[in-house]
Amino acid sequence: MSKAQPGEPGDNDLILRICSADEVAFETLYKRYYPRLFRFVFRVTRHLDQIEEIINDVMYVVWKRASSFQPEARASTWIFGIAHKKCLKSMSGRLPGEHLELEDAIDLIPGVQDSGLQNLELEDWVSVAFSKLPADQRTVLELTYQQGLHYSEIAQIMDCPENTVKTRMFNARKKLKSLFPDFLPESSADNRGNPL
Amino acid sequence: MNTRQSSAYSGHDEIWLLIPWYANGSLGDSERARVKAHLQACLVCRRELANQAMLAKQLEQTPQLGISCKPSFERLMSRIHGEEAIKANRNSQTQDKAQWLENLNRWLFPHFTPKHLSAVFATGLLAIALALLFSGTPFNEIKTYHTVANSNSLDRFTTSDIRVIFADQVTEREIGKLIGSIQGNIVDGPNPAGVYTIRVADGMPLTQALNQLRGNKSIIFAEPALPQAGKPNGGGG
Repeated sequence: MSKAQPGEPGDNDLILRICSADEVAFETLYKRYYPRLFRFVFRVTRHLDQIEEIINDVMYVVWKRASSFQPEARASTWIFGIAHKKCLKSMSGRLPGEHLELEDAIDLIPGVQDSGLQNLELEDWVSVAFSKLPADQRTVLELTYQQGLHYSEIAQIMDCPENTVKTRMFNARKKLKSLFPDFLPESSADNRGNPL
Repeated sequence: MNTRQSSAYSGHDEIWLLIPWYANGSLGDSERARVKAHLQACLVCRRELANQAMLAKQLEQTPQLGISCKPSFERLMSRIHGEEAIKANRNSQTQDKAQWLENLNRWLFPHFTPKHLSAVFATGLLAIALALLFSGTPFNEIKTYHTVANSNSLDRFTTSDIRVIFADQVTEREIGKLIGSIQGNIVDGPNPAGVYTIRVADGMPLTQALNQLRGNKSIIFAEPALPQAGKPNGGGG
């Protein structure tokens, strides 16, 4: 489960209940966001060994600061905003290029054996592509295509102007085309197209 | 090129930037209409839309992770409960101190009128003078030693309990995290010597929890709360 199913309480309702220290509501929200956050944190940080810690740091903030959530905002924007900050903090504490290899990380993550995680790394070419992009471009791609967010929401999450989000996406697209010309044929990101 | 085509094509650069969000369906009505109109006139943008749609599809097809979040959630709740227990304990200690001060204040206030000020002032001066007079005299230092365990309280603990002293600079949050890392709960403390008694979750071997705690620089003492069977009860600190 990654999003509220019909008949289930919405994210905002759950956060409202968390304000009153409702642990059942918190567990529901945790379960709902765990897969999304897992993927997001993995995509952005590439640090398998810290995913759980980052997710728990994010959800800890949700628990502690639930009362500061503005009900008119989208819960996902708030939660991913926290996650983005935690990812940046985690990456800033690491040396460039330092990350745990998948084989070494498997033992550290509970329940990971026989899961789809190995496929995520080994069979998913997108994962390879992501590893070639800077973190800010990976974040924009992930939030756009996996989370389905509008660029204005991504700007809120990343705490930057909307045009910066568009530029990051533009650069990511350009880089992907140069890396995978066969998959994404060159369609001239720089050239103007011809009108029909 | 007619005027209509020219108008739809004129915003090419701007539309080019919006294509990913057209592809993910998040654009609002007016932006979506503008992109749609431009796509009818621009082959390059149509190709780019196809590329972005393909990228989106690849991302959607990424294998779903079958990882159970239950252990992670339990660790987080253990951390939260641990912190809340520490906070409640400190609040209770603060309240006790506040109560004591209030009682003292209540007792002093009726007796402490301006007419007593001169007597209090004189007593204070006398105390300072005496202190200065004897400051060169060596006093026998009386050191009070506290044991970490109080034998009267041992019957409250189990063989899953560990006595822990954290380093001074460790924050409540860090304490919560450390306790969460062994899936423990605070069952007692901190006592005046700063000792916490932590109960390790069922299923986690005590030795493993002890080794984990002892390997952390933030912990200066970690010993079983009760003597272990087959081991001499040596003082651990």
